[in-house]
Amino acid sequence: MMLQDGSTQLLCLTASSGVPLFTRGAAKQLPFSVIGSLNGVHMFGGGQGVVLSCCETEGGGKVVWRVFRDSVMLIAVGGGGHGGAGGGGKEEEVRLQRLLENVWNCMVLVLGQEELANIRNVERLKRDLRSCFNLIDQLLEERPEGILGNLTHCADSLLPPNPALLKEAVDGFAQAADSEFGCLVVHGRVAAATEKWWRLAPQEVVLLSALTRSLSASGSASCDYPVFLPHGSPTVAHRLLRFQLLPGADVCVLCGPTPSLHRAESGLVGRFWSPLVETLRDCLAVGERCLPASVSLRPDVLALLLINRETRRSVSCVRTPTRHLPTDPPLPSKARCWELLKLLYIFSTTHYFSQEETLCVSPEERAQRVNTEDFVLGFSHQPIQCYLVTEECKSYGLQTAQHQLFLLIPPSVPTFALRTVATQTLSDIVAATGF
Amino acid sequence: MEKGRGISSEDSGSKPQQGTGDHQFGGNSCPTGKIQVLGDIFQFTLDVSEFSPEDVIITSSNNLLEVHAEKLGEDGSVTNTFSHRCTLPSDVDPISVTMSMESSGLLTVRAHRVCFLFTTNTMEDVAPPGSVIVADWHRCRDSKDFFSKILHKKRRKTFGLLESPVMPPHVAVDTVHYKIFISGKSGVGKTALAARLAGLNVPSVHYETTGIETTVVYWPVKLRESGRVLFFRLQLWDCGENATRRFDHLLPSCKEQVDAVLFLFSFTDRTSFDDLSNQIAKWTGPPVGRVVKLVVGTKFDLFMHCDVAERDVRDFKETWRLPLLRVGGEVSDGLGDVAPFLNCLAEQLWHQDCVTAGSAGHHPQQETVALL
Ligand SMILES: Nc1nc2c(ncn2[C@@H]2O[C@H](COP(=O)(O)OP(=O)(O)O)[C@@H](O)[C@H]2O)c(=O)[nH]1
Ligand SMILES: [Mg+2]
Repeated sequence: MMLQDGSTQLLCLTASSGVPLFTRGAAKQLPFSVIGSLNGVHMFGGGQGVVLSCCETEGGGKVVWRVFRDSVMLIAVGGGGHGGAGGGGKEEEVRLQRLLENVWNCMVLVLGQEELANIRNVERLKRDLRSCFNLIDQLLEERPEGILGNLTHCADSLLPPNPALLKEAVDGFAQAADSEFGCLVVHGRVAAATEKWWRLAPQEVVLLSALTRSLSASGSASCDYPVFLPHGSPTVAHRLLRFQLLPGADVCVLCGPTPSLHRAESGLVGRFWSPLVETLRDCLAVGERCLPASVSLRPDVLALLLINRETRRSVSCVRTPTRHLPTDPPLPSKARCWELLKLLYIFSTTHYFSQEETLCVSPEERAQRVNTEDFVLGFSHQPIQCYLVTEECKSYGLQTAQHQLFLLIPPSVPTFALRTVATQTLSDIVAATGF
Repeated sequence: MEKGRGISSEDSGSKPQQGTGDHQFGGNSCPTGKIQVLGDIFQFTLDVSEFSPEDVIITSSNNLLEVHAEKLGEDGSVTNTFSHRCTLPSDVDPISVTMSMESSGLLTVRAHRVCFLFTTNTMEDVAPPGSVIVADWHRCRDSKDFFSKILHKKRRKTFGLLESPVMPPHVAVDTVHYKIFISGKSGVGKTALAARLAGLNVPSVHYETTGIETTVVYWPVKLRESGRVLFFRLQLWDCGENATRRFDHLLPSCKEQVDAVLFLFSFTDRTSFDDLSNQIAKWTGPPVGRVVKLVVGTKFDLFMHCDVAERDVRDFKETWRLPLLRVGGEVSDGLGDVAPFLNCLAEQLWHQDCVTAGSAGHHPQQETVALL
């Protein structure tokens, strides 16, 4: 066993010569000889015309490799311990592959593709890469709890009680800032955005939300951050202007050279948002539930993740477990519910449901990285519902043309009732919010 | 800490004066404290020759310093005790306190005052401390209503851009806005300083700031002459140094309509100190216009690794005649930690405005009334 259970280490090297660029994660670093071997074995495979992408260690750990732009190699080493809801090590592999992809996107976001794809000065690159550590560490630590976008590549959203007003304000504000891309982030989740914002690649939307979240968490009032868009603009930087309207509510716009932060802040923020203070407060009051009060969830829903497959948005929430009867077994904790929800998502999408692969993979790479197991490929039809019963809780997955819904339900609910709980929950939310 | 059973006396350090600590106990004469202000050094000496060094306990919390001593007899009973309290002046930097005990039994406590060298004919027009605003106002009773507006559950309150401290309608208080740029090389402590001044969590890990981040600090101030109270809204602009090199637009954006610059150096990094003159020179002269300049030494708490001698700091001040502040160490929730810093900054900003406007008391900038 190379690492402690549950911890993940990330290695970054130059693809051509294996020079280490950085390592992050896991308190105890892997010895350099191990790092060298991990790189060596991948190179050896390359020489034989084999691409090594994943392997399992004896202790149940996983190692995942990936080379980006023939220039940078990322290796993730997972110590295991993330399993749970069945499926062997597949969940861990998917988790680590996603991680590598997200880390690469972070690196492009901050430094741009040019510097990463054509490494001229390794020492300078090493120094510049430090700028990405904040975001990378968040990915490694899966902070904050309750954000699933890094996994689903759907934007974590919050459905406000008054969406039209907020949308209008975001549109007007973005326009006044010479931008078509604007977004309101409440409690780290997208509450409203311009049309164009949703046309960004889903990973970009997720990435920009993550950046906004970390900037907002630091307590700063406003920011002017240069960002490259991994898909839309990997070589030309845009400016992400972010303003904290109220603690927990931030508005951002993607701009060109104008307006300056000072001008946008003094000239536009108050004009567009002061009239909406109360609306924003109502939106903040939605809190972790992410759904407006008009949606009444059935009491037997422990946790849910709802994805709109078309818009690539998701809402999710975990409710504080209230035990029905003192004789009932204890329900999983909040943190465990989030964990289970992620596992359920990976399990369902790798085994039964199709995964929306809008990922940044070249066609050859895509062929190598088929996650969907033979089960689905061997059938001509598409499963639309699945369930899983474990000692901790019951889980249900449901797929329609428009949505995917994942639910955790207490074990006390009879299995035959799960389907009703799921279909009703879906129709309740869609009817009340139009999500 | 436990109160001594002896008689405690209190010295107010706000005015230099002779200590008045002589009280009798147990037939022995009690030590006399002496306070001196030598330049920017605040010194407090006390004769504790009656006691052995291990019997003397010195504690300090914020600006209150207590010296407590107990002498035990052979049988373990207390034969002599005394305790002496001294309030350090508010412009004394609590973390700069050092203590030493000579073999003669003379205890010396020394601390640095947030120092100003004021001369009227210097190149920079610097207001002497306490000349424009009421120093230590946060300790006065009449300030309570104002400071409570920037606190929430005993911690500093964070304000979104749409918010500001709200006073009851009959107490109309103007808010004056300032833009302050924090300058210094990567890792010197810019982001940490902004967080410290705003009462936010100070990051323990160093993450590069890859763009501009601004932090808003509200601070109530009472003008000395008119007794008028103002809210200072200080917006601190922090920009990672590497980012400014990679992207050309960041630095000009920070300089746009800036009112003050904080030049940071770190006590643990000599090169950052040596580079100060270069940095300041860039901000002097006609193209820049009038900008308040303050020098800030960070990581003063890491004295074990101190790389900048006191002497060098003194020489530097002689040359540049700018206010110099030291920061470092644990951040407590109290206002006392940041009050000298923010008061100093506010005072210089207000003074500059008055000089610019040519008439004292009139503020040229647009005054904004609370939004909400
Ligand atoms: N002990 C101590 N550490 C500090 C102080 N100021 C900053 N640091 C640490 O120094 C590192 C760099 O600080 P940061 O503010 O991020 O530097 P910046 O690059 O100038 O923004 C961080 O790890 C901080 O925790 C201080 O006054 N005392
Ligand atoms: Mg910084």
